Amino acid sequence: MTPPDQSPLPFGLAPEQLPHVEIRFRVSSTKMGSGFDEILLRGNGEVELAAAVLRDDPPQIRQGSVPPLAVLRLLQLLAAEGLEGWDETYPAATRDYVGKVIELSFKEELIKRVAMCQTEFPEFSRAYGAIKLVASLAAPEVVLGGLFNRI
Amino acid sequence: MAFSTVSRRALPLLATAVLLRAQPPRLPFKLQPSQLPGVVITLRAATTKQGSGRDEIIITGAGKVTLRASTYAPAPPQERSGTVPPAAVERLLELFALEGIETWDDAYPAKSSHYSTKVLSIELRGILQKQIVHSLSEEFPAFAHAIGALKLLAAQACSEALDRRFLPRL
Repeated sequence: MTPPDQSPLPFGLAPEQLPHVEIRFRVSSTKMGSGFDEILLRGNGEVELAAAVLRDDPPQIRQGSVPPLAVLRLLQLLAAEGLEGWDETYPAATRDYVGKVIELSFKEELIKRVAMCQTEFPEFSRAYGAIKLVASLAAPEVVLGGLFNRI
Repeated sequence: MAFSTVSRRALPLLATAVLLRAQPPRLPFKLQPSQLPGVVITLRAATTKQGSGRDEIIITGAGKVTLRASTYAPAPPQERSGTVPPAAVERLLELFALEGIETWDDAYPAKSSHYSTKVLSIELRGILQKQIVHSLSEEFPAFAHAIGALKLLAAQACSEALDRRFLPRL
């Protein structure tokens, strides 16, 4: 049986590197003037939410925190769902679309960026749901409404 | 250009309308926060292969997480357990509500003879509130969002929730 905490992290990351990891999830649409919703999770547990209703609006920002273990588990889930093997872009089939972007960075250097502009595949959706839940542990409005309109 | 002008005039109204967008139900099935200790969320996965076992994640409203996995049908399941804060279970249920669990069908039948099934159920004091039997090869996005969130929460208590060697069907 696998001992606890032995589930691999993606891209060969080690648990001790966690404080320098960032996971960013952004949803926006191509509609004229449309804004965005964004979740930023840092490996040290800091959570930052940003939402702009319109493109030129200053974003509303919320900050909170989760135990770093929650971010570690999220990384393990991303690895288990196959993040490393996903394409960088899943292009839209139509002109107007919603784009969902997951970015993984280490020491501010981008490791992986996945832009989903078509119907999500299940592994991507599971990652999306997990990111949303972790963010909601820091800021319940993620699932209660009042901040995001797209996530 | 005219469209652009009209759009800009309408932007404040649009912004207000978006901000006033209907709030999602806080908890699904008219559950009240005080009822959370009586809630049990179960995700079970099995296949139609003869003698195949099943994997199970059980999360109670009080925060108890149990993983059960049996390799083949008659084998006694291996079990892991741990706890998460009850508030985290509340967030999970709120996420289910936001994803529209109340409007999902009860069954998404398979289109082939051999298939795997995921069953997501929510009970309150032993009374089933909703059960979704999903046997399609591809989960629909809202269902997969819920599954991802549930697995992540279970993994806060038991890291094996993300280990395919322990829960190969989930």
